[in-house]
Amino acid sequence: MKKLFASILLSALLLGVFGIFAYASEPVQVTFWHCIVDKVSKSAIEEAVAKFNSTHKDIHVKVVLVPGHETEVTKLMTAVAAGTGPDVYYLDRFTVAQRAHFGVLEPLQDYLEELGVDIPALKAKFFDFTIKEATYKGKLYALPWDTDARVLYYNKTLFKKAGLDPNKPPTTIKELDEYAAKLTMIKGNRVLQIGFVPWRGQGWHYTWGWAFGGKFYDPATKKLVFADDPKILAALKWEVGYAKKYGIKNIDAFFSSYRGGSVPVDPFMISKEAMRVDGNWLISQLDAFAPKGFEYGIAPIPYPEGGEKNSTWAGGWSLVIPKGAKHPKEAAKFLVWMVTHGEEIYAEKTSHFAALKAATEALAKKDPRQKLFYDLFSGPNAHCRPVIPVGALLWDKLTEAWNDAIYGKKTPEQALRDAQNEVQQALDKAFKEEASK
Amino acid sequence: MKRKQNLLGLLFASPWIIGFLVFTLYPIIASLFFSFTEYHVTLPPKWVGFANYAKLFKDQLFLKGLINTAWYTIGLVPIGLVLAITLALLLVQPLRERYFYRSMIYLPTIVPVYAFATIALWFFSPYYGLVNGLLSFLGINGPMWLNDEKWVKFTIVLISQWGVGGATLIFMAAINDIPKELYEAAMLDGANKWKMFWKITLPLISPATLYYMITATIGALQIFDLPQIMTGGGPANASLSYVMYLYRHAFSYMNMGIASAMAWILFLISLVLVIIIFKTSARWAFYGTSR
Repeated sequence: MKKLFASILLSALLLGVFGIFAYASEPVQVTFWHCIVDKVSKSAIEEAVAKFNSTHKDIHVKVVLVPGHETEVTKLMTAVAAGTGPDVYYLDRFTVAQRAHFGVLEPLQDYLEELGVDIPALKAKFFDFTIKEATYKGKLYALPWDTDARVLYYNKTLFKKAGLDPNKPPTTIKELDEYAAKLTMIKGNRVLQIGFVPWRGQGWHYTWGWAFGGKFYDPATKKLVFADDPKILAALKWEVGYAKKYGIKNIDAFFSSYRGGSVPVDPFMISKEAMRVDGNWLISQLDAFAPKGFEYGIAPIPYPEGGEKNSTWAGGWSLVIPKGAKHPKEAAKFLVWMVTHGEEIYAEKTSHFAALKAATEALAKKDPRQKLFYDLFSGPNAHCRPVIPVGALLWDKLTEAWNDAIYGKKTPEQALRDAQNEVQQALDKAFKEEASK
Repeated sequence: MKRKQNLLGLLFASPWIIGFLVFTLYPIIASLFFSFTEYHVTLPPKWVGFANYAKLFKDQLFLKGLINTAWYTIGLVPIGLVLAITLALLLVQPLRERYFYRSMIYLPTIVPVYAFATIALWFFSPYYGLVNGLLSFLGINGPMWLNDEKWVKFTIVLISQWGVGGATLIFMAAINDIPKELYEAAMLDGANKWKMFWKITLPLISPATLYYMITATIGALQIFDLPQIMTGGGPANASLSYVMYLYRHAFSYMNMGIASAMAWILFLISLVLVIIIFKTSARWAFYGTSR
């Protein structure tokens, strides 16, 4: 009897020991959600993660594609609320402060400290503004992923057909308007080919606001100033001019013909849109998808008199750990690897600028087409969006104001005023909450 | 014995009872509470009284969504009613192929809305769409449909009729239930088809009409999926429905307090409309007392 008891005890012990071994060799599952749908970037992310998994036996990262974009994080929010969020999320960096303020993110810096990461040394590897955007109340809530620059793309073949010199892109707004008129073909009310529409691609409020020499936010007084800036108003009025000239309905109908369906067609790539402001990542997509013999050029964003020469702005995404992550420590470890080693792979494959200084400098040297972007990006007139705890709201309200004006729902003055009042109210409230926390 | 039977009955019904309490009653009550708070889900709710309600009535997009939804309802309910009754009348005719026609009418109802909306987008594409293509054969220069602020709501109402099969089925059943003798008697009295429709068919299917009016009104007030998929609310918020705006507050801006307040306002509006339909139905809905 005693013998039997002893043998049972022994086998139980053995089982337990093996169990622990088995448990220890089982890698920790880290889930990583991102919303990148373009094929080039998506496969680059997968490649980087595969490399991490093969070099880290203790952590296994699972990549999941979820719907979302700049300020659209519905899927993340509902999952975090339900306690089923991922361990790592791909978040537009200019919204980090707002998400941190509303308690959606884990304080990444705490986990980095726990891992013994040399934080000042890590920070020094990235462009300064990317670290600022990733910081909320003096603490890192994100690690910067990529960055970018915006320029004017133009179709050289269409330039030749319209009798324009393909090596002389427009430099001023006046020239841009002239070229746009020459490159547009209209039959009746129907647009057959469009020369240029300011709000297409990366022609955001910020793009033209800054190119016109305007200011959106004054960090010294903590006040939004765009509704009081005549240059911002001039930019918006100029855009409204395009909506009026061609008729917003006709412009929308033209572009809607290329949307929809399972494979949207880019009118720029099929030579139906002659000029567009877009980011440097478009290069890799043009390489992959543009038809053979497609000739395009890039140039700095045109500016008006009294505007800003060589104006551009940089954004970019970041990696964060959402609230309630199951394995925040492992996630932090993955993050540090991903934004350094992983980003090197990503930058090379996608022609995105890395937030990592070394990788971007290497890219600018390797690909001559990236040189212009890099020069603009490191030039004196490169901007980044205001780092405030309502950055996402400001973006949404500016977009709304621009739409209201372009569709003629409000005068440009009124649209800007309404947006400024609403966001300022939210900003004051956020600063007050921050101070009392 | 009786007691045991009752308990057993309750036991069998318990999955529904528990489901109702946990997934329906509790969220309803919770949303009433949240509608009086500022609640961002990831932070604890803060009591703000009627501030959410006050804010909404000053919000231009809220009012826009409300007005748009009123137009949707005014379009969807009567057009659906006329179409469903007309189709039902056709489908009860003793044709040899009537079973084929019935399946054809019902078939679109089972197509998932997303797939349908995507195809409909192509149908109504202003330049390359089938609809404007057919119109141009007749020499008509078709409108821009979804790209035109003035047409977008009507286009969505038209497209919604793909789901008319469900209501048609109900009206068909109601028409088939009408005793044939009534028509024979009317025929002997010299009534024509038109008269028979107004004097016999329509009054005798009025219970089905009442049912349709209530469910269709509630459904129309909650219109969401088609405009969300096809236009996202555009152009210039001309197709933004009430529930789409509610959804934005709930899941894009994570303002559950405002979203809950919107849900309660919509609930009250639905309630008032349903009560009005019920109260007036005594005059036109006919539940034959002699039957």
